[in-house]
Amino acid sequence: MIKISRETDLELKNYYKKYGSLVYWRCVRYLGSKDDAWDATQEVFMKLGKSLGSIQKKEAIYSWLLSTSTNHCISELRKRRTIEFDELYHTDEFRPNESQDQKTAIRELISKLLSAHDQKIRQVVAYTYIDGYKQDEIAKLMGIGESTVRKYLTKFRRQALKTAHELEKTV
Amino acid sequence: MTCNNPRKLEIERLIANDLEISQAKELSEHIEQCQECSSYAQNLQKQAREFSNEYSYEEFAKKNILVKESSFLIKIFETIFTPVMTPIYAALLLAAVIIPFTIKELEWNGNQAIAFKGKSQISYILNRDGVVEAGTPGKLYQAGDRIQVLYSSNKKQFMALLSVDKNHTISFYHPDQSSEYCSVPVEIGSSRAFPGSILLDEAKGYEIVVALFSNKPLQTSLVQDWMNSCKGLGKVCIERKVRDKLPDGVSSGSIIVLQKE
Repeated sequence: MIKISRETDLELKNYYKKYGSLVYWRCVRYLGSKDDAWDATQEVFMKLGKSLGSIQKKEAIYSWLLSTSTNHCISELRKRRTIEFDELYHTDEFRPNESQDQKTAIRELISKLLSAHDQKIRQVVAYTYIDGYKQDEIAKLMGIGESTVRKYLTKFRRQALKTAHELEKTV
Repeated sequence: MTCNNPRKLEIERLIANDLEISQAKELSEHIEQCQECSSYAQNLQKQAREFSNEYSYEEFAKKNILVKESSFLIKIFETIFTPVMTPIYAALLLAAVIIPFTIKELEWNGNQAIAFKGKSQISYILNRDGVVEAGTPGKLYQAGDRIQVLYSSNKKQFMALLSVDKNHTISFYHPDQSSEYCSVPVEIGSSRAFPGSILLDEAKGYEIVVALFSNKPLQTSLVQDWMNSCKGLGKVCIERKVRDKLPDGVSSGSIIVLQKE
């Protein structure tokens, strides 16, 4: 539980109504479970309640929520090491040709691969492969250049390829 | 139309009303024509309805939020100090600082009188051995000096003129010494001569001249009792009386201190 003033409570309610659904459903995408996603959403908004006083630009709230929920979900995934995929919330309209199993495998692999990198690279990778955001959108969201986004993705892919080769050798 | 470059983040911001009006308009127009973006937007809206039905803010707050109640003092502070009231408080603060400095308290230096409350005030002319001059600061007065009091009034009213010496002898200056009233009617104008003049006697020390302005004539006994409360307390008491506690019915008061040789 967090203790906040009445003014902060009103502000938080406003942001919850605006962004709550978006945060919740992306947590569902990451964590694969509605219950886990609801827990994660609550955690994220409690953190927002504590941090509202220190967030200077109110237009940056959604960026803050995306970043915090991504870090929280990846952290949960690393604890869990496996992903459960519930058919009820299939949302990937832009890759309709992949099967459920393929999507699950991709998410599992990404989760394992992400643990090898720092927070910024993890965020870029998550935004790219799980959220499906474009590079210029990610650049604007994170306040970095598009070239930096590409650099992070390149670094991730190289590492992923290296990991894949190593995995092949062990099979 | 199919979209080659669907912009999911921008659509999410549109649903959350986060876009500038021009951006929102442009994107909405695109969505109307693009099947994929339209499908994504509709899905987000469907998800939003599902979420709000299942996970209200009240439910989230009940489990996770404790609202701090402001202390009584803070509530009062918040009620009093709203942004709307700021100009009013600023004006009051200015008035509280400026007004005391704008009330001129004139020195007891002879030709100037101290007017406490109201606009009526007095000055005087000295007649010494037939030589007439305006009262001057720091002048020492002698027995035999004749003082003609001049008054200024912005309305028709009544004026009582009296003097008190160091021995607290009170003298009333009224054309009719048998009258129960000590006030005479005065006209509107400035530097008008009061009917009758003050002749200074042998008593040493000082003579304090007091003028009291009122809408109705003042009873002599009332003024006498009022002045007697300063008996034995000196000129400071008289000044304070005239400044802070005029008799009932008196709208303004002025004094002149004449220091004697």
